[in-house]
Amino acid sequence: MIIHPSIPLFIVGLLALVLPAKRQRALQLAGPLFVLAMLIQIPFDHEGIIQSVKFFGYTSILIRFDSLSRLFVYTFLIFGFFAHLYSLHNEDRKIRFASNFYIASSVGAALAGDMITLFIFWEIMAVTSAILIFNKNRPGSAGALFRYLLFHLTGGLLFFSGLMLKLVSHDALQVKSIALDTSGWLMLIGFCINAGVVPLHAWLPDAYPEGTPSGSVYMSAYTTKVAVYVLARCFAGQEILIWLGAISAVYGVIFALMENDMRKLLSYHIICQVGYILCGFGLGSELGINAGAGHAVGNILFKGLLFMATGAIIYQTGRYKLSELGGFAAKSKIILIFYMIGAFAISGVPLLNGYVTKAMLFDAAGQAHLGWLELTLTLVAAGTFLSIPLKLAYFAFWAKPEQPYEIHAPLPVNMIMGMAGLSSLCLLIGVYPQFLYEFLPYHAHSHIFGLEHLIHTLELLAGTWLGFLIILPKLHIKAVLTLDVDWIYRKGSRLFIEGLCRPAGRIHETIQNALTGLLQKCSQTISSLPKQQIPAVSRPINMIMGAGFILALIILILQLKS
Amino acid sequence: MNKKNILIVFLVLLVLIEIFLIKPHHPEFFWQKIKGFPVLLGLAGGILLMIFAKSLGRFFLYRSEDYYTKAGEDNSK
Repeated sequence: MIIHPSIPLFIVGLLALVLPAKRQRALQLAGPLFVLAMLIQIPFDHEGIIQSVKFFGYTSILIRFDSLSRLFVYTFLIFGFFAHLYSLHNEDRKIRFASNFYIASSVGAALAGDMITLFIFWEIMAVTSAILIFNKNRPGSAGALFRYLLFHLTGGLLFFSGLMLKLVSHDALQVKSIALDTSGWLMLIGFCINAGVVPLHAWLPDAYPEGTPSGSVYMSAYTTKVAVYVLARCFAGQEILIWLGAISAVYGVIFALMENDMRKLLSYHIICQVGYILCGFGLGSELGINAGAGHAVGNILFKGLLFMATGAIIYQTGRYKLSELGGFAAKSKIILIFYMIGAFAISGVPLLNGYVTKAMLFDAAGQAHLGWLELTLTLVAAGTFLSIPLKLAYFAFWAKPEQPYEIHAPLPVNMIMGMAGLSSLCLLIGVYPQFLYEFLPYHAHSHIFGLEHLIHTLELLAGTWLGFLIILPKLHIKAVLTLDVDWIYRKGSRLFIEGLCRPAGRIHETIQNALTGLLQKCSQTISSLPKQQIPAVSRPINMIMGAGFILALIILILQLKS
Repeated sequence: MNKKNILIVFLVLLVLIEIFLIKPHHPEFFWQKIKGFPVLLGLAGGILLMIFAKSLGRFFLYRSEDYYTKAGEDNSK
């Protein structure tokens, strides 16, 4: 019997509430390393180690440590260490508490072997990650936090409903392959909300850019990757994942090209990269699952690095938008270097980790004879290269700034160390992929690194670069906001009430008044009772009645159709 | 020599390497038989993606930055 690996992290998180920042720092860093050391001690076999607890006749599998969960848990812990290092200067109690709880619950969720354990960690994750969104420097963060919570609690409810259905029908509650019946669909939608799959993604670019530089770094890694891991467990090999993945990848890359806020642009690329990962899992072959899992690891590393580098720019300048930045290369070479490592890694430049895992993914698509998928994902790779190392880097680091700006604060050493750590991991996996292969769920070998693939990648990237240079004179970053699906609940719902429910309510009122008038007339003629005044329906009730009226109409139409 | 010309020379070199040095292993789809196809995909695909995204923004999706927070309709709270 071993202690559950999340417990030390929960304890560090609780200590953050009572200990002063200076004393808690060492613990903060020691937490993930301690858990990592604890897990490495466990003798590993590929069948997986299971530790379960029985209560009330229900067997709860607290730990299932097999090759897939091992990969994710190790990555979560290593990333947690570097993210803690990056935000070590931070004295904010909330962030130190929430980040540890967030990492602990992510580790717990990845290790969970049954749905109820998973659900508990899932909900702790939702609540503690929401705390990380709050940022006193951005007035919009409270609203984003609220919308984030609404989304994730809804996702949790769907997950819970699926779980209950399974419980009622006495299905096995293990986290394993699930058929797409009613409960399966409910769970799939719940998981997709957390993974940021289009069209359930709008919370992601809404909330992630709002956090503090440190807060957003944590956010970038865990929620979506835990969801992707669970999707891999439950729905690997389902064709729908390929479709959802391909749509997300294209959608993310197009919206990123329109974006002005740096971290919002990167958020759209989380959606895009999650799309890649889902395609891998959807293919379901050994190579596909390896590619998906490997790309998830890669994405945690390089996306975290990119959030760190842009966070460092924000920390130093207080500016979030490309339209307000420019010429930053002259101010800080070190951030430029780390940013470019992350940017090249995500675009799949050779010698960095993105190249390794994207190559596996394209190969898996080719192996499944899905030419369209390979072509789409290659185009998306070109779009990624276009928006992160070319567009974002150009407008942040080299373009002439519209207004001159100053650097407010020197860059803390710990931030540099955090970025250096993730950069070296990106390089390590890129140069020596066997390091990653060791931990992949299936046996992997690097036959994919032929000269042909190398030349094709270089051709694609150089071609895209040339295209960017051609179009650059016409390219301007405008200070605008881009609408996304969140319009539906931020603006559209208001229009729905104002434009549809209110008029419908009025029609309802008119009909009702006419009917009551008619009734009154009838009663007058029939009997000699005194005329009763029926009050007009008051306005708010009117609207609710209107909504009900529309609902009744829809039900009626559906009934008539069927 | 500016950046554009360097890139063009680099691209030509890459395509030449592909034509003369690489034996493609069993191409399955027609685009895999075209030498230097990734150049075309990157160049044309990249430009088209950019134009598509920008026009999608200009004609449909761009709004002023205070769109969600205009006076009286404060959604941030």
